[in-house]
Amino acid sequence: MRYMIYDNEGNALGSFRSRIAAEASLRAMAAADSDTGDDLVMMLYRDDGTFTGRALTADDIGPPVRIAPTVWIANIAWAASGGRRAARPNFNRYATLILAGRKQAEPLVRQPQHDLERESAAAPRA
Amino acid sequence: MARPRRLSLDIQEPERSFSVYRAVRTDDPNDAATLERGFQSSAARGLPPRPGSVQVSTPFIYNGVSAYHSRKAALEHARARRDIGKPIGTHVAEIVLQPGGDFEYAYWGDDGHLTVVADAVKLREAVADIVPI
Repeated sequence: MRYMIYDNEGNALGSFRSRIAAEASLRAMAAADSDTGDDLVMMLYRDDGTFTGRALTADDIGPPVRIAPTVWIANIAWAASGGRRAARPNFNRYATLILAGRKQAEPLVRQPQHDLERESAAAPRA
Repeated sequence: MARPRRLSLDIQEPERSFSVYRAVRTDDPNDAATLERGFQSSAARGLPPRPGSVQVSTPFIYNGVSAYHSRKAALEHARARRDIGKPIGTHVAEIVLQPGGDFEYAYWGDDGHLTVVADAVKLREAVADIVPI
């Protein structure tokens, strides 16, 4: 997916390959100009460059993502253990992006649970 | 705020006539004031480059207006804006860029998007057709 940001006159202000970068840029531009920032729009394009028909405002994408404290704790615990796979906590299950203003949190890693179990089984025992 | 990377644009002048398309706020080709206002760049309007945008790093874009190589893309863009309550126009104008017309353009981004740098009066004079979105 590709992303472009446009102003209130339909003039392009940026083009992005990363949604994270596009959203951050949209938020920053909107915050920098309170008069016209509300009219900024991010348009979504397919990888072949054609328009998907989807357009989002800064309100639609919400505020910046914050990683839940449980993710930080799990990461620290894993690093403190030496980073061994067998000791790796199954933090993916608990990893969530807390999106302030959004009702539903999204999984940080969309790795199927059966893959995690296969990894654990394959990992050398300490 | 981080300064956006300067875009490396292939700026060209038309070697043959071709059409580009841009949303406008009138269906009247004789409504010079409305058309010319819609064809003014941010620089021509006296607005500062928008912080965080490529207008800051790439003067060509600050001095130009966006358009599309196809009518379909311009219509889709204008309809999407209308549908989310952020309209940029009621119609789409076909603008014929001719050699020697003091037009410059550069393609960048997606979906046949280009920035055109030209005087707003010349762009208005180059309007060949206007269709509703």
